[in-house]
Amino acid sequence: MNKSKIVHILLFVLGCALSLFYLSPMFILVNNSFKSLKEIYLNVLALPSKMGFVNYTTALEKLNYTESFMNSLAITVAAVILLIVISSMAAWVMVRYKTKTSTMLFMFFTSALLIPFQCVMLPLVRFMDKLSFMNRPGLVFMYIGFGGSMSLLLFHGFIKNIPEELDEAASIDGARPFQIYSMIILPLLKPIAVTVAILNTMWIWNDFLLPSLMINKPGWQTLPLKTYLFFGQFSKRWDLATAGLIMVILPVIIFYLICQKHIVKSITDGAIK
Amino acid sequence: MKKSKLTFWLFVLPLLIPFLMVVIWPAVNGIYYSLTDWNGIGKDANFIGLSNYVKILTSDAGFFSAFRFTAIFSAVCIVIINLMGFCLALLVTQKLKGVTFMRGAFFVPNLIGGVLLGFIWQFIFIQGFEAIGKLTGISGFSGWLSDTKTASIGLVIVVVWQLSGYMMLIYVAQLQSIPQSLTEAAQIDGASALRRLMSITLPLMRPAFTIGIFLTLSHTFKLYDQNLTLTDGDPYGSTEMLALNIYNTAFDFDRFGEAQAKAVIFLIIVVIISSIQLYFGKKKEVEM
Amino acid sequence: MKKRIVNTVGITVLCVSLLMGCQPKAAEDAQTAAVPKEAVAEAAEPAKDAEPATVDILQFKVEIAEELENAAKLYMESHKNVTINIESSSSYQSDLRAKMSGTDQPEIFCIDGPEHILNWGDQLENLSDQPWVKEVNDGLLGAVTNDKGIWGLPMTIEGYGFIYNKAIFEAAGIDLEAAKTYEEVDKAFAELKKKIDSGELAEEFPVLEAVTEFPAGEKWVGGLHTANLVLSCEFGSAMEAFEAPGIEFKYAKAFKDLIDLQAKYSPSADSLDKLNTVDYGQQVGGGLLIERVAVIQQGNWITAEVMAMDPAFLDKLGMIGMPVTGAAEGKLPVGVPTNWAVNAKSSDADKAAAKDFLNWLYTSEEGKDIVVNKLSFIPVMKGYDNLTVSDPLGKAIQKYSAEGNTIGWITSAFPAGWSDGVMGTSIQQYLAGKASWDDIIADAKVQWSDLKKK
Repeated sequence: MNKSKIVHILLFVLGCALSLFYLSPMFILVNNSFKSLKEIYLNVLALPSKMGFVNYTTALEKLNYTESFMNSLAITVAAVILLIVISSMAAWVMVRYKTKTSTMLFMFFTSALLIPFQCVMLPLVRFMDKLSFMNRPGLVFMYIGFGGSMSLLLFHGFIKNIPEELDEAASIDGARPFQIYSMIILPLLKPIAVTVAILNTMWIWNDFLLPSLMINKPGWQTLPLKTYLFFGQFSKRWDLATAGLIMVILPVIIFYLICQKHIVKSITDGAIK
Repeated sequence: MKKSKLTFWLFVLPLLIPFLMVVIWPAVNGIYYSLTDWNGIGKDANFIGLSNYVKILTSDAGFFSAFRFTAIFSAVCIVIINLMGFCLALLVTQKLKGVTFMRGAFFVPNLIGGVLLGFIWQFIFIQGFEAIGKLTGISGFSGWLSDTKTASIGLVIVVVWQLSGYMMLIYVAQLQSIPQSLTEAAQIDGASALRRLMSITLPLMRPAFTIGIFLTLSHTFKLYDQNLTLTDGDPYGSTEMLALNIYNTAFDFDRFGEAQAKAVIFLIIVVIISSIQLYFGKKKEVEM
Repeated sequence: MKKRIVNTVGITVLCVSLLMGCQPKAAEDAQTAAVPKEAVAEAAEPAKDAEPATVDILQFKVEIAEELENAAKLYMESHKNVTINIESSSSYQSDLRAKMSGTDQPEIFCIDGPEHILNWGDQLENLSDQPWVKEVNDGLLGAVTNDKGIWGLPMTIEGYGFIYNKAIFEAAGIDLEAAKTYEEVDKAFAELKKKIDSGELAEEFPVLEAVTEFPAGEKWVGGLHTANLVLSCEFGSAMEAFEAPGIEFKYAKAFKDLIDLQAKYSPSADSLDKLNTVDYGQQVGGGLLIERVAVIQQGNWITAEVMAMDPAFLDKLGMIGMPVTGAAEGKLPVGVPTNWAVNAKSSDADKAAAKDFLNWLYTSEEGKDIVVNKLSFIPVMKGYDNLTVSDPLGKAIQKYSAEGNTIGWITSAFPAGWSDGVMGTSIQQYLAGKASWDDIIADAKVQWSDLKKK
């Protein structure tokens, strides 16, 4: 009993130390978001000479926050939900059908993870333009294409651990495939679905390159597109950029904290038996 | 359950269609461009056969050094990131005070992207390390990014810092899929924590490791943002990785056809490596 | 559970329909604007060009984004049929290529000179019939003119040299303004260094640690600007350099001197390889503007950074030419960094509107005021007499120009990739002690010719 207590304390200390290491750049970011540009250049580590939210209010205005936020939100929510549903459906049948086509298709999807975006960039723009996809629904469509492989890979690995007997039992009860998927499988996927949601959300939310190529039009711009306006050819506004970035990532942090509870909960729920 | 082909395709197509249109078709197009002298501008591209490939394979030293650097870098990162990610996952699934906070802390690096990430770390390496060097008198701390070796280590630190939280998340999700009854039973039987880890958790985590290693491979091999913002290939191009090399060929040197050819070579090599990895990973999963 | 799925589906449908429903504001504006405003136009004035037009502008000077948008708004107020969308991109080269490969191309974009004219070819509209052409000051159209026409409107003039902190030199009792030759500049720097090292200036300038700072991490500073300085002494114009088969690097020695000068008076004089991590921010904001160093090689564009940090600091700044021994002493490289070009493939209505907007911006009284006072551009044409450039760096450029002490910019004739990928990288190697100066110059010559061949 005593020995495990010591181990616990040691682990706790280790965890705290590591957390500090992981968070330290974040501290620097927050610290500098309160300073003037001159103060930042004089010493990045020094504390701000006076507390003030000037950077935040200026950045808020320059980012056109409400509009850009809504754009980012709509695109991210639509893309993430569609990605979860579509890729878990595909993953489920790809696990259950042990055919050659199924295996080949899976390999096909996963190897595409290795294609660097820069390699498909120009042909992609050309093709999407021909299809008139250079708009926000088109962008959601592209996110499904690019995010599909990773989501599929994660769901695939998870579904393998779900016993097939479950499907069969439901099937005997007369359930149709879509019913089995939505009633039996989907609820069991919660921990991995939340993980997939987090990983895709932070990628899509912070993505710059794709929206800059596809929807860089007034009224359509997402938060990252606006943030980049702080980085001029000859003048980088670190004061506004740090404050702006914090406001850009704050919603994702909140989202992450909410999701986290669901991952933790499932431990005690024992959702998977 | 009846396994009809129709059901299979109905479930796969919603994902397959966007995937084919967004990734595969442009990639196939890219292969065509790799056989031309297209400069990325305008519409005219002349078909020049395999000469881009010949040129790259015979006389492009920059590409080979970028390739070598990327391969070594990825190998190092894959080991450290996955080890780190798994340890963090174990740590935050313990019944400890403050695990929720820790789990958040480890993941936060993923939220800072692009230029700001480079800015913060550049500052840490250039000014922060310099200050430590002056304070302790150890000269090894100064000029961290101006030396190829230390700049590479810097790059590794940043990437590990960023991706280990990502892998942690995946491993946490997979750790949940291990039935608690199994570990509890072992505990009652008197198996030590280490023993439980070795003979229950690790074998059951194998599929997750396959995924984790594959994802890190794809991340580190394609690494672009961090490379650009932290070192931009400096000093003198010695830390230039493949994606950056390809990008510069296309947009700095206006040689889009050549860049596409590099991308194709890159892809072929990576597909070979990853199929080997997936093949062996799968084999082990089956064995257990 | 079922309920939750229904909910989720509901949210998704909502999001997608939201996305579908919302047209781009611009398009909406254009649509709503087109119908009723035509009527208004008819009523108010004889509908001169009531045909609706859309002008998309793609440009890379992100710092002027806001003011340019304001200018566009002002223009649109008096030209109700025109919609202008300004896109300011920090990844301009890739964005432009991407946009140009589709159908949604910008009507106005930026080109630098002969290299770009060759690349974009029939994508460029011949602007030689434009009213502003005859107004443009001598020599400024050189990089965008060939035997077939004139392909761009010079955006502004920029100039660069040694920008220095007058207060520091005054306190040290050194007259840098009088230094013209390399020896004189070197002597002035040496004197200042002595005073800094002795601690004489420490009280007044506590952060001051060295005379210069050289950002080798920013490859364009050495590879583009310093190289341009010596190469424009070799060639008369951008066109001449572009048509020449190769370069001789006549003033390679002066080039080396200029790099050495900035390196040996920098804080990293003992380990020059550290200069390879110094970037623009450390040189300008974290160097000159916090008074950590006294002199830097930069141009009047740093005004944007000064205004963001400390507008009063502007008055402390002065600029002198960088000496190229044997070719140019006391001279400032002054030139056109980039030009507005019009897309020849756009519809006639859009092209007409694009040309009219540029013409309005540079020749109307309203536009001129914006150009000088809002965009902080130095005028490129005649007819700006009653508008004065207010910042001291801009003034210095005008002074050197008025005295005829300028040398040209031929950077637009450099082969793609040469400045950063070859020259800038080589300078890093030189500073790190990995290559000798003779070697990197020899290599740069070979690469120039190779890259020219394509």
